[in-house]
Amino acid sequence: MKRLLAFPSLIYLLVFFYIPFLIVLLYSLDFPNLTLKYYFEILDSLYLKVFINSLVLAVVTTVLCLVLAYPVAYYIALKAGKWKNFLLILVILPFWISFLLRTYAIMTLLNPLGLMFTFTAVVLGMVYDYLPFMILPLYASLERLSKSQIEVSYVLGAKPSETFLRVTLPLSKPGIVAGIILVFTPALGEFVVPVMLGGTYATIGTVTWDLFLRYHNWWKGSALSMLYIAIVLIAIILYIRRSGRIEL
Amino acid sequence: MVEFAVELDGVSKSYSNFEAVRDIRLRIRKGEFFSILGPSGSGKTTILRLIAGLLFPDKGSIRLMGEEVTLVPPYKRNVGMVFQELALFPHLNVFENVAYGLKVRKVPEGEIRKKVKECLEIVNLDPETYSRRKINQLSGGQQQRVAIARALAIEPSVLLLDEPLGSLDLKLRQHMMSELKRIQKTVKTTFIYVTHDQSEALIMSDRIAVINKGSIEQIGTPAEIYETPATKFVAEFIGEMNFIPAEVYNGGLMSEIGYMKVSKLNGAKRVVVAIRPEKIKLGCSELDNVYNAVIEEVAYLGGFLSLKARINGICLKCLTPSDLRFEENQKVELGWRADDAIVFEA
Repeated sequence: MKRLLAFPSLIYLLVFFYIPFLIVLLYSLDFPNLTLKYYFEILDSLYLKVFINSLVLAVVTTVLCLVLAYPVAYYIALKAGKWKNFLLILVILPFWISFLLRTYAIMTLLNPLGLMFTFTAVVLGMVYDYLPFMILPLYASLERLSKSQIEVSYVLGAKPSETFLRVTLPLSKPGIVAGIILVFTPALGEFVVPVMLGGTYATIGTVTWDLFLRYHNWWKGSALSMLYIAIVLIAIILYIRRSGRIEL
Repeated sequence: MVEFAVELDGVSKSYSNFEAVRDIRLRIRKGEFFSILGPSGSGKTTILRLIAGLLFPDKGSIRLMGEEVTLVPPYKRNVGMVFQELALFPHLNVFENVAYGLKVRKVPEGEIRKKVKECLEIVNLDPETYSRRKINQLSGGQQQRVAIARALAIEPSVLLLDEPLGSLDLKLRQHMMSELKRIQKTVKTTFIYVTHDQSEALIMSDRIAVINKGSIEQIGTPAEIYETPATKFVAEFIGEMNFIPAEVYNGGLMSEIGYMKVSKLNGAKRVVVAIRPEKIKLGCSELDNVYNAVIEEVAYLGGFLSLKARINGICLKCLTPSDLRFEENQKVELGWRADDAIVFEA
């Protein structure tokens, strides 16, 4: 009986994720011919450049999110007192508006500044969209840290900076790991923000879109998608192995 | 040679909307086991945090080992502190927790190892077995010991303990009380122990400060606090006490139970007389004050009987050895010596 309860979501995932995923895999292998030629076609310097573009964008976005989110999460978790819930709602508030609409809104802000269709514009849009995904897991891990753990470190002779490095930072590591995964993974494949704000800044996301919908080259598009998924999967497995478990 | 480990002079501290402590004067001797005893919200933890440097006073000065530290941050004070919630570092093992203060002080590795071993031995944790353990693999009592060892490792000028036994069950708490006393005798460090539990304070302390609503009511040895309470609050807070409202009359006092002889008066006209339950003698007529009473309630406590006896409108708690037997509704003569009654202003 209990097992039956899992069926609806499993069927949903099967129909809308695993079966399409299988179709993409088959397309990439040019089923029923079964060839790797589309994979060889994308192992080309042009696509390498696109991968590097995506990687640079994802790394810059993740690092900026981490640096900006940490003080916010720290403040909400340890200093905000009765304002805690209110501030958390402020962090979640942007989710009430569609992701697409928010990106349009950013366009109207960047246009008068003359920043449109630049790398800066893409990074600004990405950080704006992904910041809450970094703040929330950081907040969750910092919230578990008790104020007295920081105070006991002071009393034992550690200056605030040393306390941060020896106590706060290590204890918030699960949050940092989770935040990085939540931001880096979608940022690497991001497609909407580069298309709308980046103009010609090509990423894996935008090129996949072009291959499928502009050139109708489903085989090559599928091969690119598979390669991207493989890279992310390997990266995450390695990262989790190194940093222990993920906590969300 | 300084005589006092901690001196507070006219220390006051207010939070945004209330005064937590007011004009605190304390002199705590070196090597003393000193307790700060008071109900919750009385400001006792505030005093501890002021000594640790986690709070700074609005007024007054604080000296540690004769040195002025009023506005010195906590990381420059060299005090040890054991928090109520212990606040051990879960990402470090037992050894690293105890070594923390020494690592921060850049003590050489070899010395750290020696000191950590020594401290774990003092708190009765075998260094061989426990050094590599994770904090969450320890029982509550063991965690307590690690927290104490961590605080002692830096050889603090004073060890502050903020209700450290509050979360333990009764058995373990009693055991840890004697352990704390033993540890204090071993290391000879000044201990300042904050608690709301009078039995903890009475059992362990050399001296006790009783605090109420941010002010010190009395400082004294456990016996002084119990036998000669300075204020009505202390009399009521420590142990059981009977209170009888009375008025000065003919060199003695007149109350609802009748005339009372007392050994000294305090000048006030309307007073309250306080008598400990064990000072009331039953079935005995050769006392300064004797009354006819009716037993209302008898509770058998093993070695003792706890009784409630009524004299007119006043009900008195009495404690008497259980070799005398009493029954409910029994008429009895009871009384006390004039010396055993303490008179407070009403």
